Amino acid sequence: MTQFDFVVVGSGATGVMAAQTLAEGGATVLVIDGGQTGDRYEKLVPDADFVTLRETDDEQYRYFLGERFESAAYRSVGAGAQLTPPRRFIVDGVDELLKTHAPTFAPIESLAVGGLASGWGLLCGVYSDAELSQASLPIGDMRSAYQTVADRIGISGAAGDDAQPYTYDGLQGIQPPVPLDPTAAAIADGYARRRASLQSGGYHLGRPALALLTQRKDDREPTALHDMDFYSDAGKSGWRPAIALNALRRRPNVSYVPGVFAWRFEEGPEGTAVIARDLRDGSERRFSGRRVVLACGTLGTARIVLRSLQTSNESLPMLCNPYTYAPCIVPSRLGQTMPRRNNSLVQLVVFHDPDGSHRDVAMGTIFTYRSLLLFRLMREMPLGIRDARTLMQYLLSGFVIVGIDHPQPYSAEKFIRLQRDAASPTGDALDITFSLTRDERQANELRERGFLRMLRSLGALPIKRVHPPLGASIHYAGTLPFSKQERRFALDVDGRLHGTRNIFVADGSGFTFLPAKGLTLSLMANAHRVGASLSKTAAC
Amino acid sequence: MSIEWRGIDYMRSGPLFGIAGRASLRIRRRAYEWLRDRVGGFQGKVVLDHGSTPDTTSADSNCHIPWLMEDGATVFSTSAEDITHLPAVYPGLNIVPWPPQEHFTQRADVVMSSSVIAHVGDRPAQLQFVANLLRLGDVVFLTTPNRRHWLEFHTKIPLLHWLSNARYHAVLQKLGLGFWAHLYLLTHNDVQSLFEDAAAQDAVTIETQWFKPRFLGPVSNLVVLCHVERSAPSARSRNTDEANVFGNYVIGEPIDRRSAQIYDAAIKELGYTGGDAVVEYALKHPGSIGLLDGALALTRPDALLRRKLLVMAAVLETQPKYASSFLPRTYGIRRRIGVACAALRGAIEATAGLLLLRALG
Repeated sequence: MTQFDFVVVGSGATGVMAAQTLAEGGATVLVIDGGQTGDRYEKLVPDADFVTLRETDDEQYRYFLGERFESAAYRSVGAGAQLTPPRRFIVDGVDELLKTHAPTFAPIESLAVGGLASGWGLLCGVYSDAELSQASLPIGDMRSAYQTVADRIGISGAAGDDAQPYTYDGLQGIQPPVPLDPTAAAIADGYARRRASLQSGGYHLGRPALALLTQRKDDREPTALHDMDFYSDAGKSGWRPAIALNALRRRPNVSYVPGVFAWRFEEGPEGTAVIARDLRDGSERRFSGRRVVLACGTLGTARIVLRSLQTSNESLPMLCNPYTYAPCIVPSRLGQTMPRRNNSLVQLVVFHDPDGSHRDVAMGTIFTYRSLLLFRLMREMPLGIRDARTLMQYLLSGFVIVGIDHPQPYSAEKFIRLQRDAASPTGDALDITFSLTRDERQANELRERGFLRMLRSLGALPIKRVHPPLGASIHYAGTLPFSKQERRFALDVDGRLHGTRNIFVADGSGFTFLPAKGLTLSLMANAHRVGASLSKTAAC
Repeated sequence: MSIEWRGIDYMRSGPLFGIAGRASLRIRRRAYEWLRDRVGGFQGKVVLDHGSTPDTTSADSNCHIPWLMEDGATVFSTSAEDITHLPAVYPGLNIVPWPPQEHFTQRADVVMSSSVIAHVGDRPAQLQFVANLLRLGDVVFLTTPNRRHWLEFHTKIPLLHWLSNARYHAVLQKLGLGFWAHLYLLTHNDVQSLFEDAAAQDAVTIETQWFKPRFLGPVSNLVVLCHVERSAPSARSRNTDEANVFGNYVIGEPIDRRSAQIYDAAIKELGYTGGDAVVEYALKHPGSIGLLDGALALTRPDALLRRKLLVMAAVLETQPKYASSFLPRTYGIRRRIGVACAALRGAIEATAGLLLLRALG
């Protein structure tokens, strides 16, 4: 049996980043994943802008509604609402294989090539020194890791605006930002007029940093501004793990096995092995390596660790950013057309940093709405469908959705357990207990009210606040916290699972605090950091 | 049933004619170009003009005949009136004796009937007229003034034509305008139902497309293009019937066959087939859908009727033909008032619908 230097479990943002670093260090690397892909839809979505498709493509219902009309089904607002039919492959097979008991939590996991980052909103945020410390991440290593990752994925953003200290502060080689939507521009104008007073209240608004190219990079095209970001990766302008994975597969020292579901690991005197199930025929497969790097996402990694260490009823802590969103109306933009060239991603970000310390920062993200279609909004209106259509068509050009992410420290009310479950194909299910403390609820409520006041002052009138189920932010971390002390179910600073010699974790499981900023860039930076540390050790 | 027409006098004299005549000509040209775009031009096609007027004095009389000829069509004309002089006016025009269904032996690529149907009599006569059109060709183009317009273009009298036909005709008699007491003006829904009922008579399936030019405010003319499919129609599913009713409600006009088929597929795929008491009531009484939908939006937004309507909306939104009803656009004052009225209507209907829902249990 071939033995690799490293078996990397998962091809998501962290898996490919760690694998790339390890492969560049000269190690032999095997990447395994569940292998679900969105090929079927990739061929269906034409390379044209949203409005042209809407006006001309007779087959558009196949990708806008789904070949099984899944988007037209009545569904209350929950986690993954932005997963359009071409992105649904991200969660294919999860309900069957990754059983969860979570009455107060709505987790999203993935068995797909590229993992959850295949549907990433591309928003980047660099943690401040204070946030890195709170998350138990080494500041110096993370700073250089951020730059490496930024160079690999390509980031665009605006230089010198008030949000920059919270988005890509300290990073070089950032491409120019995408053009601003007129509705978002109206909000930005409102901010410019009240900048001094808003800043004194701790609010800092500006353009987001996005892993979206505005200039060519290698074989990737600048964004065509087709406003099809939720449906297509045409031109590879937005970074996806599959881009890195495809590049890795061209390396002679990298192998890739899709279609396997990692079950557990084993550690013996001669190395380690990952025991997996082949998703095509159910057979057991064993992948051997000197070391194993788990990068299955916080929940996936926790399942494997708990299953492998055969503990009963062990509780692990968990972090997840509470998330609220508020549909808003910008009256000055009602009843107007929208630009044909646009994007569906975050238009503006606003950070609330009450004391300027960068320690307790909350983030607002402002989206304009068009490509997710009108009927989804009609569903949410307390009006008949006919009148809702008339009204929403008028409101659409002035309609924005503001998401509010809260920072999240540990608390006793948030933990997971792996329970026996005879009905599950794995014989177990992840039990998630997650609720906010009274203090957290009060703090979040105050923050949200502040955000809504700030939005009103910018000319964006909130219609209501929507609290999707906890977990809807899809920002999970903290199940195997970094710890300098050798203790079970914790990681050392290099990502090694305490109690093991050769099992490493490269995803967000070790973060001991979850800042409200976009998580993915920091996950990738940490994965690179873990990979770099492993490369050094291997070289020694 | 034979069709007898009264002679048509278009009140060619009078101060209003200059303006109205020019406007009429412009609207006819726009409708003609709309038709030409949809049938892929007229070069080499056979067109039957069903109901040509004998009048040759006005620019808008039979104006489409020379346009068709210029665009390369072979044109046949037929009329209950004497039009044997027309080939002298339009060299190359072929006359088909009346009734055409007995004398026109070939199939027309396009059958045209411009501003005739309002003059052929009451609904049974109009139904027979449309059925005859559908038998003459697979593409039927029909125009008629819109009864919903505030001005009646024959008499130039506003609003009076909104009376019932019997009262309207009686008033016209009293006003000394008995010549027009044969007019049976039509609304969009009237025309659509005539086509649907005529298609049902011959067991053919049809698909209609509409063009609605405006003049002095509202839609002045109803212009419909009907495609006829003569293959044995499969039994229309319940879902297709639902689609027609719900589509009309959501978008305000009859929907095309393709959208109905996609709705049918979606309903089956999502498992929303069949209906509860509310859905059945809505289908029997389409006028109640707004009330029920509004009330359910407040009380049970996931009710089956709402689910079905939402699927209909999603299907229509993803059809190019209806894109303009969903994409953002520029709103003038009139449209803004329309939005406000829709919101107000929605609130009122929801209130009334709550009572209806309670009655339905």
